[in-house]
Amino acid sequence: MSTEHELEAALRRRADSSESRPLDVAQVGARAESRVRRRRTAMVGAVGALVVPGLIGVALVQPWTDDRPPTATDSGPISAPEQKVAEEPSAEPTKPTADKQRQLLESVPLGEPAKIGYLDGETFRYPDGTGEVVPVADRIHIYRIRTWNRGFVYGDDRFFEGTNGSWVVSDGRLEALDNANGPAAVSEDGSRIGWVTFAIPEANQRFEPVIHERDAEGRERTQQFNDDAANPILNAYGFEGDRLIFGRAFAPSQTFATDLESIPVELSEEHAETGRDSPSGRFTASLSNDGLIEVRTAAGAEVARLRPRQGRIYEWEWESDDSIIFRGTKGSWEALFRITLKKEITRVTPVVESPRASMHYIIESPR
Amino acid sequence: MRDRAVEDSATGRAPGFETWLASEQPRLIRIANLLADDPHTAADLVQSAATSVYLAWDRIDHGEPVFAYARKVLVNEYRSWWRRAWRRRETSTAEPPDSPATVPVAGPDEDLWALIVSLPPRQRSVIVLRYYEHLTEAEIAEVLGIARGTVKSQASRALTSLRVRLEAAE
Repeated sequence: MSTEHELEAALRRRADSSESRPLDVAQVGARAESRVRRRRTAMVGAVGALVVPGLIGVALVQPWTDDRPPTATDSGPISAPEQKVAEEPSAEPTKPTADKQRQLLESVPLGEPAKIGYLDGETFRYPDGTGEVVPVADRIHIYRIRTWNRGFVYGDDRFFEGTNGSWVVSDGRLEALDNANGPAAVSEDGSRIGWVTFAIPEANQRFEPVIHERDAEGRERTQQFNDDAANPILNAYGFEGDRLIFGRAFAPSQTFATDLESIPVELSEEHAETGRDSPSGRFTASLSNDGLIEVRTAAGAEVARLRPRQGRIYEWEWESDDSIIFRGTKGSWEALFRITLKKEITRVTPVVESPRASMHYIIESPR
Repeated sequence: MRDRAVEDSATGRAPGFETWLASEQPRLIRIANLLADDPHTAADLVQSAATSVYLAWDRIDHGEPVFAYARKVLVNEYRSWWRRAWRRRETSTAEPPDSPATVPVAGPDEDLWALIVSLPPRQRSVIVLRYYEHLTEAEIAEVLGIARGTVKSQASRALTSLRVRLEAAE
């Protein structure tokens, strides 16, 4: 398989050769009736019929948090997974309209501005309240961003062989980092950035990976990395003192450290990141696949289990040792929220409509 | 009292649904066949997705989002079906088992297709949505209900696996 086009062509030819007997609306109607009968049979009498819609109504107007898993009422029909839309035991519409979705987010009381940076459309909002427009190329959608002394590094959601685009903004000048995946790493003091370039097999390229480090004056150092792994995709994870930490997630899973002078050394698996530390390092938090944020002490004792109900949570960061900022969504609406370890939720931005298949608010990734 | 959606079906009062079904069904069938590699299962997936669309017809926005909704139901139904089928270790058939369950494809696609079919269902879903439906990473994440990073890693794992096995077969 030399190019993506070969895979596309194979799928297209396969799809075009497929045969299936077309349905008519009567078949669909019959199956719909069967499904409705099944779910009515499954209902547990009149008490259940009264209680369940009541509970759904409560869930719709009280977007608070608890440890319960999200229900099918947490999102609108278009965003509902599986087939829950049709499975609710009520003839009344149970999904909020777009207005109700927006109102649900807006019903969360507005709190103090976030104390961490975030992208607000095209403007980066700093914790001190100032803003700066981020240069972005045409048709590029940022999905992760960090600041550094001379501007920003960010990744865009272009998608090629499992990699994303990578960009650097230095003093307002935009530069694409070709053959890198996602945003560059930034040193803790913001003075240096690091990234790895590698041959993308789908582009029929052949060269050894190169590790890059650039300082605030624009001086760049590089180091070739001899690598024969099946998976060539390498990411810069961050800096640890003078060393750049980089590696790959799988095939094989490896993490390396380099000062760009000595040969990179492979780190043990214990070094792999398992959660995100709070600013003081007192707590660590991790997000489970079903949307639960688990907060533990550094020693592993459970501190809190947070399950925000403002949609499925993917984007979140620690704001302080006591609070986490996350991006909440309902339907096509989104806002940033704060949740404390005491499960108190406030909204920190206005509710806005998301751009199609993209995000309006993007929380700054930690260095 | 009959369910309103079912009553609409009986009296032909599901405005626009029949037209929508006729228009979008071929595309849904093609996606279902790529996912299931079995025309009978594909037909069942499409029927299930169409039924869900029908029951939700009054509550969803019409136009392109209807197809997006149907595709989402289809893909998730495929993943549920795969889990059920794996547990039962069986494939659905409408005919006696002497007829082939898959549509034969002649030429160099066959090896590649055999590898695609062998991918785990989530990786296969990502590949079909990315390289056949041409969805973005964010759109695939939305359809499958997974994080964007997971989409990326699943795609990368699938492509690495395909490449390694193709090279081994050569």
